[in-house]
Amino acid sequence: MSRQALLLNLCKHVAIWLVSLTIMVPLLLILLNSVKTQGEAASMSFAWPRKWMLSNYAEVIQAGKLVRSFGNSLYYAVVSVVLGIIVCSMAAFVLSRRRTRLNRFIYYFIVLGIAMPVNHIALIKVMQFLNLMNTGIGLGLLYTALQVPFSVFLITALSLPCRGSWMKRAPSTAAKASGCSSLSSFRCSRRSLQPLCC
Amino acid sequence: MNIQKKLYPGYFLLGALVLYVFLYVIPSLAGIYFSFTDWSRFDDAMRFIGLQNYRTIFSADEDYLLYIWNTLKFTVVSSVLKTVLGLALALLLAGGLRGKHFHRAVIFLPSVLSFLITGLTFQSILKPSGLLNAMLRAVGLDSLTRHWLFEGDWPFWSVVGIDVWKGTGYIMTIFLAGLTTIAKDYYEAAAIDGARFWRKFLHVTVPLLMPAFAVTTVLNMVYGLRVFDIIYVTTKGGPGNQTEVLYTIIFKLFGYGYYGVGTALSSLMFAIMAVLGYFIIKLLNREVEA
Repeated sequence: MSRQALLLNLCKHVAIWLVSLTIMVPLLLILLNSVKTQGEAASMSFAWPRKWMLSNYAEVIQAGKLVRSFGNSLYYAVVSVVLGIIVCSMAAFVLSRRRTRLNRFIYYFIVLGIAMPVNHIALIKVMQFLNLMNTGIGLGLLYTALQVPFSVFLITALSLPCRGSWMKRAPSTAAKASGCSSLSSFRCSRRSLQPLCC
Repeated sequence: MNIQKKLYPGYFLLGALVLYVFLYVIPSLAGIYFSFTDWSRFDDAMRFIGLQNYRTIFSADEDYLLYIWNTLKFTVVSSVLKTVLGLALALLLAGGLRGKHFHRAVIFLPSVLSFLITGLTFQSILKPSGLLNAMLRAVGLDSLTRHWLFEGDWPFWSVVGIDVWKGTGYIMTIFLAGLTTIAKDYYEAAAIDGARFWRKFLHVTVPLLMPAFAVTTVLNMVYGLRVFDIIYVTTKGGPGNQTEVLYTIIFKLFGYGYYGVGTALSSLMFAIMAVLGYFIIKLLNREVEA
């Protein structure tokens, strides 16, 4: 390696380490103070803890009922992500490939939702009307609905047939390619598009 | 056309559309209707009052215009910083730098942290006796120490700084994903034509990264205009109303019981976002639509 290349490499390492350290310092601060006593942690300093309080963690897990709440979070995350990916990729598949006037309109109608402010009181009334209030399913469906606009926008951006980079990997010819016409649309979208978007 | 119809059937749209219309569009439209009423906590009846709420927002004796200005300023500044930094980091870490996986993980880490924890931690770092001032004193820069969340223009820049600290990793990840899909051939071809770093960057990387730019810009813009958590946790809109943005003031209005004005503000926000978003998507998709 020439001297210039070495110097450049050194500069890169210095820069990236500076960034990483800036990111790490506050994170380490949280970690270090999480094992201090209440009084010591109040100052949030890098002083070494005088007494290691690993019991803090046990207390948080018990008092915060973390096991139960983590289970609930996991449930909503799984439901909304799985359902969201299925319905949004199906919609984006059609919207990006069959660009009729109506589909363009539907695309903009859905993507407009990224900017829409949901009114929570009206939302509660709708959910009561649909008998979805206070049910796990209802909340799961709600979280799915809330991510529809952005997911459709993102997946469409990834699968539009064009000369851009991501698109190149998912050419629409793949969908039209042999066999596809004899497959059902479900299998076609599963086989041709989804692997390319992963 | 028939094959098109068979390959891409309309019922594929149903799932997303039904969920979206019932749990998203209807509640939002109802909210926009509420913005034309005098709905409040103090009166059970709800009367239609036309544009009254909007007149309140734009009247000179209220500070709402300042909040709108703050929101726009925050959006532009944080978007630009995050995009530039995110792209620079992605370019650095896309190459064969040693330890790049470690750095990628570290830089992404803050985006999974909750806003509450980020805010509380930085509050303690930025206070007069906090870590930042202590570090400045340690290297002899006493003159730079200050109360970062109270003095002059610094509260705004502190909040922006915290936000960039937290959000850059996510943007970097999107750019990294975009960079990995650019085929090496383009760079080789450019190199044969004698292009150096800048020309390769301008004529290969940037054009082929346009879809990533579209995604990050929309993401940053929507986030910036809707920013709430990070400001509420660190400054609560203060000192005074210096860092107040639209969503913090909407939150306060709802807390005081002025639902009508609150929904009017969020409807106004919707209009701003829809117009900006339309032009941004149009602009950035020009290449893509071709």
